[in-house]
Amino acid sequence: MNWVFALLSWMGVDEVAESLITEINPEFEPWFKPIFEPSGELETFFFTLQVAIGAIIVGYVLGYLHGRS
Amino acid sequence: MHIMEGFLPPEWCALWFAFSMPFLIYGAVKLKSKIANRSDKVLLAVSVGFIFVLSAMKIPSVTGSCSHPTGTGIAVVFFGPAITAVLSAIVLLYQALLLAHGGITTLGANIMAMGIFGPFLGWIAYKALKKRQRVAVFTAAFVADIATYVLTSLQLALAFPANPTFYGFLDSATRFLAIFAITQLPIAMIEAIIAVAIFEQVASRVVALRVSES
Repeated sequence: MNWVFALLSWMGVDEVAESLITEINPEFEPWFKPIFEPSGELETFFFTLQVAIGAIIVGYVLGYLHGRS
Repeated sequence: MHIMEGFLPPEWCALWFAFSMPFLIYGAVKLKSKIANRSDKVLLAVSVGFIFVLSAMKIPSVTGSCSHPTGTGIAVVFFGPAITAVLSAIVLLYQALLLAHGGITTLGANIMAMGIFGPFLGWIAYKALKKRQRVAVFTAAFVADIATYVLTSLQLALAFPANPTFYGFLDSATRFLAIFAITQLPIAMIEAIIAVAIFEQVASRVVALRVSES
């Protein structure tokens, strides 16, 4: 019942799913590792970068449309 | 959430790739015809931006864990599921390569869930409710988000049945759904509200842009 406790810890839902998978099939090992795994700091950076790119695009278009009308 | 790198057995990876490829190719062809037009270009940009922003926001939910919305609602409302599949694939690739979130091997399965299945059901909801536009956009975004996580749960249950019978699959499916779908309910609601707000801002002004184009 590991995943029940995992649920209450504000972990990412993918980690919760991971513990459920190992509960269903204890022998399972991921057969492929990510080619590049960012450190904690880098991960934050790339997530922020993703939001920044998206937000700039949305903001630009909203401003463009606002200016035209 | 997307299915993690290496977490789907190879045969399932291959199957989901085979399913999602035709949609992607069809979407890419459709996308090409849209780029020529200025008002469509503007809408495409908003759709991509919306997916980028929303799919990076990890939001805490009632179940005590965090998950993120998919952000495909706006794209579906403006362009339908085929083009949404291509736009989702861009974000999924970004997250798989730079964030180790999702994965290259599971890309096919994740495109199937976030890019095709979710958006397709969202699109049907939008078409059905089209007369009341706000309600339609809200429902489309909500359905696209939830359906994505429902398919992810089913994909995991198919790969990890509790025992190799149909009931084993059902057993696993309920357990994955209990985690994903319930966590996702409030998050999908938030996504749908933001989608309506952006849609309202964009839709009427793009109509004016279209008129000035023709």
